[in-house]
Amino acid sequence: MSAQVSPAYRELHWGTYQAILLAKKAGTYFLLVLASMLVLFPLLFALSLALQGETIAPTLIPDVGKVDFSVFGQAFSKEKHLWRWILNSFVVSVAVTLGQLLTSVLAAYALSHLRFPAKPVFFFVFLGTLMIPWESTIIPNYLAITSWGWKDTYQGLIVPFLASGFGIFLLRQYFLTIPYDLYEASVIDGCGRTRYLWSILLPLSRPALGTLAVYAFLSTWNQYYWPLLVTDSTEWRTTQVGIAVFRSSEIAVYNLQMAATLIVLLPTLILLILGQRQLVRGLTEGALKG
Amino acid sequence: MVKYTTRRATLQHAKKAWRLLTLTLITMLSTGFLAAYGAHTATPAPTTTAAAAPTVVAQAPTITPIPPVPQPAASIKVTFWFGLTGSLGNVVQQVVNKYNSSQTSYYIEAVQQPDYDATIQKLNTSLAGGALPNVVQIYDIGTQRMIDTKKIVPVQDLIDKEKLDILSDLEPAVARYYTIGGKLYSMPFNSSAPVMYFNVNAFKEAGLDPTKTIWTYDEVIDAAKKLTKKDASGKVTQYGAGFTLYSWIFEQELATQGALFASPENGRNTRATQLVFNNAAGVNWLNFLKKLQDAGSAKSFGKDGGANSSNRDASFVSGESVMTFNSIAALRGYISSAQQAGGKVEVGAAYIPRPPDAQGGVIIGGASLWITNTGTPEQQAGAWDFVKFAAQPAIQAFWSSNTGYYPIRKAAYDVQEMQETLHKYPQFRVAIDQLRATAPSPATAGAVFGTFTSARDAIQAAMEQFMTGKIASAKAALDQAASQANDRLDEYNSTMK
Repeated sequence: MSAQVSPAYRELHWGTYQAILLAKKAGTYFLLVLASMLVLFPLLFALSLALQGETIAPTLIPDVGKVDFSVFGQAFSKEKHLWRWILNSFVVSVAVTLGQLLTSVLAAYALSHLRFPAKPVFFFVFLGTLMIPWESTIIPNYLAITSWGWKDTYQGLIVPFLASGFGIFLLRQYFLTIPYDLYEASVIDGCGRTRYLWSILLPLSRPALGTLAVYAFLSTWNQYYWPLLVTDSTEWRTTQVGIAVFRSSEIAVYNLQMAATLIVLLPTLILLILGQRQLVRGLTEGALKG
Repeated sequence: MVKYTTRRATLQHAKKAWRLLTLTLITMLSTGFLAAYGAHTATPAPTTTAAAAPTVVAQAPTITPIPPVPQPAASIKVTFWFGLTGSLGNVVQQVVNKYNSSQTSYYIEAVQQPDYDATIQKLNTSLAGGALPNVVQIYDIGTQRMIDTKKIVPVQDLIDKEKLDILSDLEPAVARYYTIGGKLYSMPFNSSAPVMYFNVNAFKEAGLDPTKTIWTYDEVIDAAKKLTKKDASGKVTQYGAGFTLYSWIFEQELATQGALFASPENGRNTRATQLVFNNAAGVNWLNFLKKLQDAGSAKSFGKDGGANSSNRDASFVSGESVMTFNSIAALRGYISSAQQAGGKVEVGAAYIPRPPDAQGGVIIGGASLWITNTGTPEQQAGAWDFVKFAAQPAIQAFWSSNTGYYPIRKAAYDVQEMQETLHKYPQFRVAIDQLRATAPSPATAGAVFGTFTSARDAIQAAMEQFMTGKIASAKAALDQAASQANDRLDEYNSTMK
């Protein structure tokens, strides 16, 4: 296909050359298919288990004649709160993502572009929070949230995660790769600090912002222990805590559990697929402008 | 100009590296995210895997949503946490609904937790200042930890206050488990015990007696040899036995031989200070399993829990392995799954195997209802009222008939529903006989101490190392587990002084 023919190939017969190209292409596609199967395997396996009915001895590939799609309906009829759990997870994850972006951007901007006393101290304090294991902060957080009467509320699920040391660190490092000259030039041209941040720095930082957003969203979506602690009633549960009720504490029957898992997985998967394009565009744009 | 281009080049280089890093991160995140979903549901906090409650298996699930009944006006709300999910969770909700419809003074709000481990973890964190439930279902091995919370009201005090005559009608082995220092701390709710399951058809084919209930280790080894079949290529097509390395069964075997798990006296009268499961009885059981495996007549599925347990169950109900060791609560699941898997297997039950001179019996497993000292006096009264209700013979007969656990009340066997159940599942009789044949002693009452989950982890790890040959002697493997488990126990006990 490629118009560039390397010198070695010029000597070859045209047909042989085509054959080599084809073989190369086939090899690439083979590897790609293999890689995508590897990545998709957990999903496909979950689907396979979901469709096999109530059995404790499922097979890798379902028996085509016995495939049972009603299990997805059963998941909703068994747990009428399923939609609510997905909504809860969504609201919490989106709010935490936006909150982390906002706090991280402002803190990282200050740490990378502004001059103020004790800057390194602040930076190391932020970094230091990364070293504290979450287990040791859970009790104080829990006490604070309960004393404010925030159990079974969105704010109880969201507020403790609005700032993140990791996000600040990630963005600061990225902001430092953008030349300071750009900042100086803008200031000479009469651009204020806030305008520089919004009009120049943030558009240039889309890759890093995208990374942080995806990371914050997924880690919030996957939270288990915190939502378990601060939610007492069924309708306030998030999906991760909620879907645990589909696990049978008797014999291991996976169909319903896997169906529920796929249902709660779908919204994030769609978001990821849609968002990925945006992210990749952000990546390339950033690269060209640099 | 030169300076500018170099800078630009460096910059682009940095950008490239950054882009790569970002892409890698996204890929890692998204694959990890998928894997997390695919593997299981969300992974709970660590230290839970091997700690899965012993009574994990019951009837095949039926998907009937059980909505709670609405709360009547002017009733007092009482919160109840429970850790059973699936069809067992549905039956719990049915019991709660029965209570709520039976009277109008109190309303039980039942909150389902993901599992037993999550329930006690959430409770422990809530101790720090949050609202505790008024009633909570806690698994057998959480008993010492519950007492140590100092936030519970022993049900014995409530029974004494009302001069109730419940104790004499409680199943003795069950009452003994939850009695510590002479006091019944919690009201048993769902109780079970282990049995040796076998495939009746394979037994008949091999000329073995399916009505024999007491089997010694040597008899099981001989039977397994007879039951093992190979095809022309030498591949085993039917194993005499299939088992997981299961600490709960290990504990049962200690009790069967009258040996203690913890000292002094399994923690029954004073706090247990040392774990002594690395004794001759434990060594006997490990050697028995190893002999079975090494003779080629049994398959070990590895440490109990998760996929290993599923594989063991699937192997048994499909007829691949003839004997296995598990809770009687698994009976209905085994029977219905065996029918689904082609009906080649007829499920039989016998006592768990023992050395010829064994004098002990089995320990019950399961969970009980604890009343906390939180809430208004009215709420506490409601909590006790509900607990009494759940222990009624009729409710226990209903519970047992719909799940596969024992009734905790002797009078429950007089209830019509229970008699029909026994008629339908004669194997259940064997388990009851085994339980009632148990000689009362601290060994058969079961051990009580605060770090049961980590002790189980240590035991199952030791069993695996011994079975795979990494540690040559059973004694050495158990010594190692005991020393690890004792460190944890010392640590726990030191915080209780």
